[in-house]
Amino acid sequence: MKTDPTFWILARSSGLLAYALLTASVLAGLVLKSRPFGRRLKPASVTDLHRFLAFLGLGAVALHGVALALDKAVPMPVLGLLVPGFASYRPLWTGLGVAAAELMILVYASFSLRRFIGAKRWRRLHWATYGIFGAATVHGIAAGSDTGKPWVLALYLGAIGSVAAATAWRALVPPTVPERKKSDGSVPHRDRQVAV
Amino acid sequence: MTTVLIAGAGLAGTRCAEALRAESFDGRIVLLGEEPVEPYERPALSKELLAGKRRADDLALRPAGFWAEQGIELRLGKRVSAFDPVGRTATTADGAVLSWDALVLAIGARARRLPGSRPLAGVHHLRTLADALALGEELESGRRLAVVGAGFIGGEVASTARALGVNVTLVGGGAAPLERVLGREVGGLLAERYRAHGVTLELGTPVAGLVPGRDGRVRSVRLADGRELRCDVALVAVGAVTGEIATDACGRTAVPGVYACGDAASAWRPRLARRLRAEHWTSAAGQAAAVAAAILGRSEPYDDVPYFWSDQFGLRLQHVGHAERWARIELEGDGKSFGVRYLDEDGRLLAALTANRPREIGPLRRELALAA
Amino acid sequence: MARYRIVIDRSLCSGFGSCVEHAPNVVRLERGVAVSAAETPDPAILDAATACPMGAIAVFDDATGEQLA
Repeated sequence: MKTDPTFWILARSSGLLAYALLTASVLAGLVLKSRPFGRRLKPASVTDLHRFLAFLGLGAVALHGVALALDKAVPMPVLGLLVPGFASYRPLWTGLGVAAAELMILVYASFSLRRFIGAKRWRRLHWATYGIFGAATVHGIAAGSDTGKPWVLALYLGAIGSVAAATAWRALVPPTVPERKKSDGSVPHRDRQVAV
Repeated sequence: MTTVLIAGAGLAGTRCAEALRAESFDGRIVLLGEEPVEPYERPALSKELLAGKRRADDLALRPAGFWAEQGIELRLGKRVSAFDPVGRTATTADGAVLSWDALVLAIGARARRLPGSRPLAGVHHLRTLADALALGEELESGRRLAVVGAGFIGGEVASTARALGVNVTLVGGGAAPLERVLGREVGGLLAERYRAHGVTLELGTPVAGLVPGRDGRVRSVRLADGRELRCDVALVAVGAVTGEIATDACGRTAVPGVYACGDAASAWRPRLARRLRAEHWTSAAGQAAAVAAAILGRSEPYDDVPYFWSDQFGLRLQHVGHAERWARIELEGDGKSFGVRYLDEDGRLLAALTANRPREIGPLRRELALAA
Repeated sequence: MARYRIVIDRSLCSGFGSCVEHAPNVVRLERGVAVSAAETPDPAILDAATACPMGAIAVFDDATGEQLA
């Protein structure tokens, strides 16, 4: 009996696509902070791109999960997709993927919930993105079926390398002005917003 | 306790005081203003105030209680007549002596008089609120105003006066209004606009003097070629005189503890690689902030692209950059809305001017900022 | 007085601080959120608004009311 490989192929390709989109989103976010902008590129546009890539990435992750559930070649109970470690196939590495996906949903949703959790907490939560990227990378390499292929390996190395490079760039670029350092007498007065 | 004494309560002086408090300086701040009025917006004097659109008490830079709330000792009607950089004291015109740890000279400028002129009734200068109120009293529909000086103040007053129905003759030594700063072609465009608004232009002939009538008031403006232009009231707007205090980009003078900012300061501008004395609002505010930082021991040089604006005859003129000489200009548009680029021999942008094109100033400013 | 009218959407501000770098004389961060006066003649605010990654700053021309940034 030959099992239909359609969902298996879909699962693998959507997984790699999700990884590529995640990497692209992370890079866009890092570039945003380092701001190597010339005359025309607006930071707000990069923010939109960053969020859109994350959104597409989430879509690819969802597709990846659905395809795995529907695939008959490797048994994957729904619980295995929702609880890290519950899968029978390479439980640890698959679990990392589940954790990464759930964290990704949380981080994406946190933007809309900023009003409730506060900007400071939101920014601290956003640091978890590095954890998402790391877990997704390990999940892909260890639980993925195509790691042996040279182009897939190149994808992983390229992703790790570019994120590392962008992180280094961001770390070395002078930090933004800390609170109140460069303030001036343009104090918004309580009674009247006077012209500056 | 550390005492900062600020001589001058115009935009620069007040901004310096505010910046010190905003940076949590909790020493003593004494702010001395020569004019007996609460610090106010000077640019409005030639425009909204003269036109009657805003009242004098509407021009205050901050609400009346602001200074006391910030712990800034504002003293009006006090002029610093001398200071001792070694003993760190300053003397005001009424003889009081004040000690300081840091002295900020934000003393501004005075309106230049015509050479050899003496006070004459009906002849006005425009620098202070008192000047503007006095001039405003004399501007009535149908009266004849002679404006000596075709610079920005002259142009703005001419514009305001025309709107009030005053007959205006503008006298300028150059071939066109604002020629020195904006060039001949742009000056020509403006001249057409002035004429279209009913201003009589007398250009190219220097002014010899102001002639009094038998009633002791000004009767006419005499030109170098002997012609006389009759008038009921005259405004002399031929520039400002200041001490030109040299400072670095942070507002420090050569004397430790003494700083300068605003119209009186000739500050080093790294972007232009020279000292520049600018009578611009943004320069004054920016330099004042730099001085406050310097007093608190921080180097935060002010080096923004120079910028100023002028509202006259329905034109919002906005100018970015600084160019005293240029090889050629690129002018696009017409008398109602235009943009000008001032270029050097290599085609590099030195400065730019827009008229009624608010969207273009941001990109032009950025272009100049990136070019340096 | 030529003025730019400034509107900062505090719910969008995430405290990046690009605005303060471009227009330190107009905007500052207070407890992680950008604050400014309601108006300024300083064109640096145009850059500050464009630089905000969250698009939290809107700038209007006081004479025409049109949005410039």
